Amino acid sequence: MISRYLIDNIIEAASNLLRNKPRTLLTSLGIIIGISSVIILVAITNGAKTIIEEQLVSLGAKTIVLKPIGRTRSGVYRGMAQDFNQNELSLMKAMPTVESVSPIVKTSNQVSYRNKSQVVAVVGSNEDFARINDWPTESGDFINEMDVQDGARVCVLGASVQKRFFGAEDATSQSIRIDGISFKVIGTLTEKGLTPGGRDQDDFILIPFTSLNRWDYKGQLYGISNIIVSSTTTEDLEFTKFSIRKMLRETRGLLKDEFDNFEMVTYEKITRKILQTTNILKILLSAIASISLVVGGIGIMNIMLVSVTERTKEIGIRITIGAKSRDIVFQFLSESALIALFGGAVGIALGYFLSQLVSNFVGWPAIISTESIIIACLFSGFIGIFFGIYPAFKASRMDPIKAIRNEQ
Amino acid sequence: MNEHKTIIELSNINKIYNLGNTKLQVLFDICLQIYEKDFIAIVGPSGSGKTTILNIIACLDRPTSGQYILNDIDVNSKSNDDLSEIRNKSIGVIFQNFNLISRHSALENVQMPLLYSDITDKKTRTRKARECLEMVDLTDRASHYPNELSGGQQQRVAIARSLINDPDIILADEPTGNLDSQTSRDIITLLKKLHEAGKTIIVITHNDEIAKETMDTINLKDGKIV
Ligand SMILES: Nc1ncnc2c1ncn2[C@@H]1O[C@H](COP(=O)(O)OP(=O)(O)OP(=O)(O)O)[C@@H](O)[C@H]1O
Ligand SMILES: [Mg+2]
Repeated sequence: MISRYLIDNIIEAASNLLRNKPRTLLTSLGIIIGISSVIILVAITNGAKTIIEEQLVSLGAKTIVLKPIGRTRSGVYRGMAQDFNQNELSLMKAMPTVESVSPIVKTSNQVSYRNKSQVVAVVGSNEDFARINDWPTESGDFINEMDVQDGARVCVLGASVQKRFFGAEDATSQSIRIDGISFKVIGTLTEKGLTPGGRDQDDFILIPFTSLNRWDYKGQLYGISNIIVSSTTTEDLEFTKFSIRKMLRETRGLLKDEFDNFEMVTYEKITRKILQTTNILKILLSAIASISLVVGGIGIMNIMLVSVTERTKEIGIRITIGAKSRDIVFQFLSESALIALFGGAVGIALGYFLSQLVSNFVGWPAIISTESIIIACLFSGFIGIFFGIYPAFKASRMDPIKAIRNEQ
Repeated sequence: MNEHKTIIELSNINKIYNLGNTKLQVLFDICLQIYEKDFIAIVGPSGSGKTTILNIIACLDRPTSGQYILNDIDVNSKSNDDLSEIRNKSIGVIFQNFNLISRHSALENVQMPLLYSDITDKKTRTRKARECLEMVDLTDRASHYPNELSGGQQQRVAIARSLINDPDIILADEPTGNLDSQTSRDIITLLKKLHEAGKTIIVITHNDEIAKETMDTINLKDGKIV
């Protein structure tokens, strides 16, 4: 029975709005513009956020850099530096929240190819190095797990080394000598360029860290000076840190009152700040867009007031034949809500298409969540009802005798 | 004097309009008793308060003072919404200028009071509206809009609308005022038929023919019954 009443009202309201299509369209324009700009802004900032997130992750938002040497809080070096060892490495690798572990052993060695010979930075690492550093090969392959297991004499050249020793020629499949021992070049890395500090990131040769130890003819064992650990997710980072610290303290037999003789560096704080900033930006932009929604709502109120005045006589007739105030309120609220919902629906569609357009233009994805669509619908409905209340109330309070005498 | 029960009873009804700093009294101590199945004409010169009294009887207006008992209900104690319900169920009102809603068809106008009643079934509504249009002999104009109908036809639609909830009382304010004499006669015949069907009818009129047909005539002059 209630629903019949509802349906009757909505049909009546819809047919009434359809009678004056240009006016209905113009009235809903404010809502269309408001909703579509909110949709666009949220979609674009959401897209930007995922891009930023991705970049942060690739920059190390979920990585931990382990370094030997602990420091006291005042910055004074304390105790002996202790390099990491293979055992610690495999224990880390076995942790459930650890995605990959990459050791870093840095040396400088005499490197020669044909008649050219230079001292070059050599980095011993493993197959995870490329993934953790998000560093694809330009040509050939990266070292794999087998190479690391076998201590294979293979190497991957940084872009600068490739250029210096081989020029335009592709180094892949050639052999170079590192401290007199022959290494086969299996690939070259893409160019990363200079750091902001001006250091050439591409000037090194990467080999399995196991082969570095093996060929050291001086009998000197290179320790693992750094380990880069990547956590499965950013959320797990804290737990991973905790597990590693516990493991290292245990294997190293550190007593309760002893300081760590290693340190762990993460980029969490920076990451969180940046993500917070994008969130603030999103809220700010939506708030600005919402202003146009309010303006749209006032437009609806304005037209509804005009409509009430125009239909004074009709309202009088309806009250005379038995309409109660709630019937009149409902009649006009249905209309304003319908206008706003129509505007909301068109606004969502328009916002959808425009955000695809803008996305092409700015070059990052537009992400429209169902959440933002639902919120847009609810919000436009709310605007319609909120700004329809006053005109509807005014209509319901009419004196039927005066209203019925009104000539349009 | 009358075997029927009292349906409308006005006692000492006064109506005073406040016009800024002056007061205009248009009804003076009106006392009136109307019985079921009465057919009453209200006559009087222009401005004598006929419409004012009819609006009060129709529960569209409230007297400044006095008591109005309708069907044993004290009308003054009721809220506006209660009065809407009373108008919807027990009173049918007909106006000189018909007061149809122009963007609705004849059939839709006739069934509009049902929108505010308990009858929610669409089929029942349409059937009832058609029956009422049949009573005023307008079935062939059901889908016409008011501006496609003659004055007499519009008034018959208005009468059909007043009948839709089968009210006990029909109130008409100069129903033939805008119609020519032949059409007026049709309307009078209709009102007579409704009276014969058992309705209580009060009609304001300048039309002697109507006044002749009624059982009784109330003469108003300067807001007083004479
Ligand atoms: N809303 C109002 N405010 C002030 N005065 C009013 C109002 N409505 C009616 N009046 C006055 O009340 C008096 C009676 O009006 P009413 O409409 O009842 O007359 P009537 O007998 O129906 O006249 P007519 O035959 O011309 O329709 C008139 O003098 C009119 O000016
Ligand atoms: Mg009058």
